[in-house]
Amino acid sequence: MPNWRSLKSNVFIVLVVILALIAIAPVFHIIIYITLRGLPVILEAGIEFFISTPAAVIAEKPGGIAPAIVGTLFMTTMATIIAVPIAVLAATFSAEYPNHIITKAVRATSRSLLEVATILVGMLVFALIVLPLGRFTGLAGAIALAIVMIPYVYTYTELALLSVPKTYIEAGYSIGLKKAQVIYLVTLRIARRGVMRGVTIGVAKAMGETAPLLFTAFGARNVIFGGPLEPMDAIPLMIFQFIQTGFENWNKLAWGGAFVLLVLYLTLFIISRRIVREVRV
Amino acid sequence: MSTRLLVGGILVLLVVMGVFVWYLAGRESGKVGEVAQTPTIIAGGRQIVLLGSGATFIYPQLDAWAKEFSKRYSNVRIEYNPTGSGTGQRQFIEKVVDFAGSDPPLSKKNWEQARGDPRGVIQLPVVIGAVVMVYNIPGLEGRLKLNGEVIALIYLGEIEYWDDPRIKALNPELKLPHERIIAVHRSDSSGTTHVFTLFLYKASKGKWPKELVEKAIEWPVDKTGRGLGGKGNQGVTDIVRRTAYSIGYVEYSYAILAGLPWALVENAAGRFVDATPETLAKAAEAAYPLLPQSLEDDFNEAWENMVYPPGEDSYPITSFSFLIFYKVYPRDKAEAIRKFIEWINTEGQNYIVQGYIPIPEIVREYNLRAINIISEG
Repeated sequence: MPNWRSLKSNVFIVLVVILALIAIAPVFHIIIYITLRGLPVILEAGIEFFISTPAAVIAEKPGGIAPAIVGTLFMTTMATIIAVPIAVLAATFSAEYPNHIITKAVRATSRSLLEVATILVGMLVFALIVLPLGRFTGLAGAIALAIVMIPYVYTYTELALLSVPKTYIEAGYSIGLKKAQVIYLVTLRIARRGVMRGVTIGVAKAMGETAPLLFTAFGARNVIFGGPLEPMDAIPLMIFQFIQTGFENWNKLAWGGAFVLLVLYLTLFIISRRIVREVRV
Repeated sequence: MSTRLLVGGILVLLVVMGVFVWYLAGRESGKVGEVAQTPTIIAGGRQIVLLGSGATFIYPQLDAWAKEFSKRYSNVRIEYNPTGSGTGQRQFIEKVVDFAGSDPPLSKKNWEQARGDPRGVIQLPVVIGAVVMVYNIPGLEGRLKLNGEVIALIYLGEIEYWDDPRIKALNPELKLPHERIIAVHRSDSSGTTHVFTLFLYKASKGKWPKELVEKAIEWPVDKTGRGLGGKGNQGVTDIVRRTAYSIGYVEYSYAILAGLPWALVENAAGRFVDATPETLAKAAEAAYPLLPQSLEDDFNEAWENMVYPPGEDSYPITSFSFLIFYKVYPRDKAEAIRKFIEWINTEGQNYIVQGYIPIPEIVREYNLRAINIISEG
């Protein structure tokens, strides 16, 4: 009889563990499945996979996805350079003046941007930049991705800044620091962990987006890098367009691309984790 | 100081990326020399990029042409993206692309708008498309035969079982199982659906209503619970492959790649015809007299007449896919476009992707008229 309680407890623990495993199973399923389908493609193609353009479907070998890799790296980097300063500055303002009319407007805009389908962001950039220029450009793609990124970085940064204990900020003022110095030297430094998390999630989000690029970067995969003012390919765009065709060569490239994207994600998260760990509060 | 570490890390990453890109760019321009054919340079040797957008169906074929063409004319690069026929037509009107691909020709409204523009418009039927009825009936020996009326009744939900007397009447020699028919269709808006429903309307002796001829429709069979939707040709192909006792309509090339059997379909002359390169070419030849006098005309009526064409050996669910060009281009581009049109209608016919059908000689000659129409401006 005394065992009855511990039995119940054990059963419960086993149940919780099983449920937890079920909850995370889809993630592992995705990782394993993409690896199983994508990795053999890359191993078979070798270095060609990273430095060639895709071959025609009638070719013997599938070629590579260099235009997509270069395009994704270029546009994500550009988008980060555009989005992070805007988002972090806006978040700083919001945290400093939480009840200001501008703060309220920014917060509302950011929240609705999070909800908006990203294809609409693409349409917006198409109307504002592509149509007047009369051409699709990688730069337009980067701007669309930046707009997708901003609300994520903004939201996380604002939360992180608001969570900084008031005592540290007051300590900053007490030694005679100006407001800008307190923000830069105290608040942002302490909140770095949260800011990095926001940037990481924003970059990851931008890297995996297809919809905002359809009408902006458009895609161009017979050249590896045509220039920032030329149409540009991206990994998700390539996957989306190649997997719809019935041709084995292109399906292979799409699976290989999915694996590359997965590796980029994991690297991004690991790097940002490491950096975060080194921050001492 | 981890901030410095971070900034340093990002800078190193940027430099590495820059070197990578620079290396690749250099590698690529060196690669042109490796090509076996002696490349020709046109339009004074300036780098010319021709951008196209539109139908998914012609993407693999057009891409194969683009790559082969660039081997001949090394300073011309052609980029085409499968955005869908409707988007391609719109982007052509918005002038953000140099040409468009489309399964149906420009709609009447789009055509009038494009014709009214100083840059003008011409349309070329460059690829033959065919819709085949793929099916998955485990254990069935022999090829299924169907006609427009029976297919219409299946998609209307009126024929429920494979051993329905109306199917049996067409297939007296087959042992058809007493199983429910799962009718698979496209869930997205598609030119393939347009061609298929147009065929049903014309070939079903009034069973299929005119209102259900569209790129996307409400399928009557869905209301009986025996209909399934798939995204794209690939989606429909996958569902038919996985679902026993199903039937679906897909582009010919997808059926070939998937290795699925397809039905013989009764044509306008009353014969059951298999979809083969020969019967598709025959259908295109039979449809040729229906084409408009000039490439500058509206193709809509001709295109509708082309589905379910006359001729003893014509496969009935056949259509043309189009490339749409402006009449006037900036100087360098005009020359490149003319060369491209000339090439795909001559030498390019030797580079046909598996599952696509070369167009008959008379249609090629028809297309070559474009060379005299396109001008510099």
